[in-house]
Amino acid sequence: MGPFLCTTSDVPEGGRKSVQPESLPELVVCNVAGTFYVLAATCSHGEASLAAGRLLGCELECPLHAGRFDVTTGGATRRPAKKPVETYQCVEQDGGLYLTDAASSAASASQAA
Amino acid sequence: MTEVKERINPPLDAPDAAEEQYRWNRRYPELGTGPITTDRFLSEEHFERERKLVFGKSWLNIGSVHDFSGNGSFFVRDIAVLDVSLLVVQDEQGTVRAFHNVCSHRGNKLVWEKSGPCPYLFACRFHGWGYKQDGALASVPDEGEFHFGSDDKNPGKDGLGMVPVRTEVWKGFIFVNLDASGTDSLAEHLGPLGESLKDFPFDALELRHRYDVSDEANWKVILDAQNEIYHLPMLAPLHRFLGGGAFATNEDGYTRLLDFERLGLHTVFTSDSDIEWVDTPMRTAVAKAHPDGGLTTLPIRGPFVFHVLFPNMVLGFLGDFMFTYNVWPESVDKSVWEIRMHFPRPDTLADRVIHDLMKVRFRDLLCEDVTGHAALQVGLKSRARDVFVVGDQEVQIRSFHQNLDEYMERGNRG
Amino acid sequence: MAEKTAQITTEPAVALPERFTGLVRFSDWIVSTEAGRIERRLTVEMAACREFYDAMMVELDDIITYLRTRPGADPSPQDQALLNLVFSLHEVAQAVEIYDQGAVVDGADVRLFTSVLERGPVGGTNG
Ligand code: FES
Ligand code: FES
Ligand SMILES: [Fe+2]
Repeated sequence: MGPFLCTTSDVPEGGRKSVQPESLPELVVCNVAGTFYVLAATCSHGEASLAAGRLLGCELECPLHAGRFDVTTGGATRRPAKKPVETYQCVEQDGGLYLTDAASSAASASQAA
Repeated sequence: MTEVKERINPPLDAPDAAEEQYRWNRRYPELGTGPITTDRFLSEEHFERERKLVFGKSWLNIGSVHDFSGNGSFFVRDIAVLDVSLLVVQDEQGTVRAFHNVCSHRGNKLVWEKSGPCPYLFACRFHGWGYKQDGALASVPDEGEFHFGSDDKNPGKDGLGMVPVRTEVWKGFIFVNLDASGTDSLAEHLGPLGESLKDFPFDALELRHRYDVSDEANWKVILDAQNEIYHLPMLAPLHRFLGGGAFATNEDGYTRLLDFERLGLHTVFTSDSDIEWVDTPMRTAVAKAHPDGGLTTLPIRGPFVFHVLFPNMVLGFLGDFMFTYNVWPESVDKSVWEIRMHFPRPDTLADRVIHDLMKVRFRDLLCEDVTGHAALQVGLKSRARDVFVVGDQEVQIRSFHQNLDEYMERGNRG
Repeated sequence: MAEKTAQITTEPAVALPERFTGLVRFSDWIVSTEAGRIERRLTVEMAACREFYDAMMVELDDIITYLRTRPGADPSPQDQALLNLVFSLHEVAQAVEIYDQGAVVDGADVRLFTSVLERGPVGGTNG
């Protein structure tokens, strides 16, 4: 199991939260109808944290130019955002949310890049 | 209707050249890279110069033959910036003429109606002088009491027709030139732009909608804001949504001009469409209304084409839909944005569904723009900055302002 | 259907083509002018707009297949009524698919954009 992200109660249904695990890029945890999704928080369009945007159903809206991303795939669904953002697998254990091992190595790789 | 199922004019440059940095500056280095002054959108003095040296001298599009209800009809065109009212007549034979809408007796505004079939004579409301469709004075009540002569100083009835205005029709578009001493023809004015559209089948299109929108902005603010697609992915919800449709963006989501050309005083730019883009359920369903899925049948240069006809007209195409703008200054910070939408004659009623959806969306898009124009004027008016900057993807704006300056310069000398 | 009727003028009922008579429940949306359709988009509540949108989207393929068999000029009154119904759907689709409300978000009042060709004689009068 990878690094701890947050407790599940930190992110109520319809909510999103910025998390900053050590030596990883900023991530955003979204709760869509009880399912948690983890994405790289930095917008693919410009310098903005998606964690500061609104979660609309399964779409996360960028606070800067209102581009949108499907949190289940990371794909951009509204312009001006066009490129996807990374998504990461997570697991729930004892009320805590953790990245999977594979996800955490992918995240540190993208941090290095 | 012309049935052309593929693009006739391939873009001048290969699309993959689009990512070259400063591409348009390289093509048109004479346009420079400097900023544009704020003052030209605000100062009364600049506006006066435009009134006199641009609107007073240039050919101006005042509408098209679609504005008549047929042969033997008229419309009145008031041009606020020039303080003139024109009577524009299409006679029984189809010839179009424009006159000052002024009675030769004591100067009354002759026709007060906006448009309609030509009356028996255009009769002045004041004392009833009557004029024919060719402008000739035909009837003077109590004529015997007038001292008609036969020369310029004391003209006779022959010399008291309505004052004609230079009028020419190009492809159904009516142009006038208020400079009575000018000698340039409309063909000279249109130059390479007229040439580039000389075979275009304008007859295949009919006028369906016209919006006269009053706009709280300098006329050039409106023109500039329309004359670029940099703002498309950003401005407002529908802009953002369509920013990837007819308007292709690069990997980073930024629009790129497919092509840009200076055509004498005029310009044209094109944008490609994004084939991967997924439209709304509504548009996707309506696309089935035509066997080609709404494929373009007109010979246009690209999916989106935008001509600026100097000084204040736009002629654009979005697929088979043609729009025109005429931006009429009323004062330095107030204008009327006249928008016309044209479509091919419908083959079936399903075509009318495609056309109406296009109209509704385009209209809402422009509705978003109106707010943008007013906000630009507010910002400029604060004079927080003396100049503002223009990117390479806004080269059209650079070209327009340079043409405007040079035109006024020539007018000053001439 | 919950709606604020104050500014909406109801038009005399027009029949739809026979196969679409099931849509008569939406006959309030059969509006012959752009101004009237815009007015409904702006004043009918979103829940009712959505209900109309959802129901019409189900029928749309059939409607379009039918309209493709009808010549483009001089529609019958029934066909015109069907077109007017679809034109109302276009207005409502903007509200449902793009704005999540009737009015144009971050835009001007869309009532400024009603075709002057619908308002009687037009001149070149600006202002
Ligand atoms: S920075 Fe996110 S959409 Fe522009
Ligand atoms: S971003 Fe271009 S004017 Fe503000
Ligand atoms: Fe725009």
